[in-house]
Amino acid sequence: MTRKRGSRGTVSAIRRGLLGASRQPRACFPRLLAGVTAAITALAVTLFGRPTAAQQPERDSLRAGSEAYQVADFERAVPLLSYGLNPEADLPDTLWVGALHKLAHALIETGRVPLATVWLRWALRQRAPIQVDDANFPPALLSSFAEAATSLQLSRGDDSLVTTRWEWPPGPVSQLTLGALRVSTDMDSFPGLAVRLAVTLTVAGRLRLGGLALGQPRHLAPGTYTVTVSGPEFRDVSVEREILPGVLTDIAFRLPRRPVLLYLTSDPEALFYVDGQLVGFTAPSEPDCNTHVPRCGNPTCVGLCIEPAAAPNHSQAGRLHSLRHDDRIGRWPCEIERQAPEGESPVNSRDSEVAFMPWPRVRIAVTAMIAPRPWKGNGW
Amino acid sequence: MEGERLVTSRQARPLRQRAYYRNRLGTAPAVQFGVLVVRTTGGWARISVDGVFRREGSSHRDSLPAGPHTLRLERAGYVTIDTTVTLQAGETRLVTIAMRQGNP
Repeated sequence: MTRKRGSRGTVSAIRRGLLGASRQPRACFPRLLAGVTAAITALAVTLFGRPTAAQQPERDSLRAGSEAYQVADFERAVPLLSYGLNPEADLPDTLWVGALHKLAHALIETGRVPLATVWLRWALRQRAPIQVDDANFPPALLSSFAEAATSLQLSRGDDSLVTTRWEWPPGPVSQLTLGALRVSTDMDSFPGLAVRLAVTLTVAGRLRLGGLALGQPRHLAPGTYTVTVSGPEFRDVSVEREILPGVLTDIAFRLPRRPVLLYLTSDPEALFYVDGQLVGFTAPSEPDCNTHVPRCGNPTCVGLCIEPAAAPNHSQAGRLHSLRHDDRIGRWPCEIERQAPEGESPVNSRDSEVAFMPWPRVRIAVTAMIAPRPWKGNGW
Repeated sequence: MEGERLVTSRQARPLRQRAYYRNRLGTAPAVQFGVLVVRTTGGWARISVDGVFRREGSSHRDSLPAGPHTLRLERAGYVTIDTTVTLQAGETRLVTIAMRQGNP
């Protein structure tokens, strides 16, 4: 009771303002809590939070660029607007698109129409469709938009196999600055494979530039380039990308493996069954990996055609009939490997064989069997 | 516009250069310049200064001799605007003109 009465008295005294700060122990707690909360908030903003929109340098740059554009100071507007178009800045779409219009028009007005088209193509590639403002911008800009859209429509590329990022310059740069390109692949962690990859650069599909080292940036004049990555065990992947002034374009390729043919040779030829299904004849001799390109269904070289990209963890077993001692299972274009499979004991069979693909995730197991008297009375 | 001979900016440039060199050589009184900035609201326009087409757009900046200059803004479907601006030497004059839809 005493305590209860005392606490009521303290609270009422605090409410009446009769007690000093030193006598208000409970009043300190909210202050302390507020201080801790503010500190945690500040720390969280510092660590994880983005600056507010008003503090974004890109937004400020867009505002300054727009002001310069509105008084026809195009030389000053262009670097400011181009800096503000950083896609990582997460600006509202209307602001971003408006700045794109102004930048392209300013470039057109200063006689840099091709560069304006490059910027528009870059923008359309990532943010299409864009609503073109034909009320406030003249027909010349609409023509550039149309040209960019048409060229994009005609271009073909494996965009789904590519991830593109842009490293924007730390501040506004002149449009005469070179851009840069850096290419990487998902095979970079396999040094043996990566060294066999080739990167080629093409301009407009006709002009071929020198090669490009994987992972190394290469400075390029602003423009549109076709980047192709090819390797002996992978399907060629090509994409078109724009190189912007002062911007590092980082392209990461995911390379799909080529279909691999498991072939079977036998002496003499034999019918080739996989899981009871006749797929054709065995090859009389090992395919010449340099000149002969085996394809699925090729009667001279029939085998299992495996599409690794479709089933990365694929494991397929097939029964091969009528093998002789010289029969072999191999794969093209890699070396033949033999290994006894684990846990398989085919009845009435010779040793089974497992072919491992050159990449670790794909394993193709083929069970080889000698069928009892499969063929009667013919040549072999 | 009919019967009026338009002088393009490309044709006007040698005339300005000639005047500049005449001034440098002291054969003519020194010409002092001001800067005219034209800005439109409500849409772009074909901007002409002193009968010379300058650009299509919503803004234009030009360095001009001090004195009066005629300004014309036109666009199909909009009211054509003719106005005169008098520039002082060393002055930067911003002229904002509202484009209004109207006559073809």
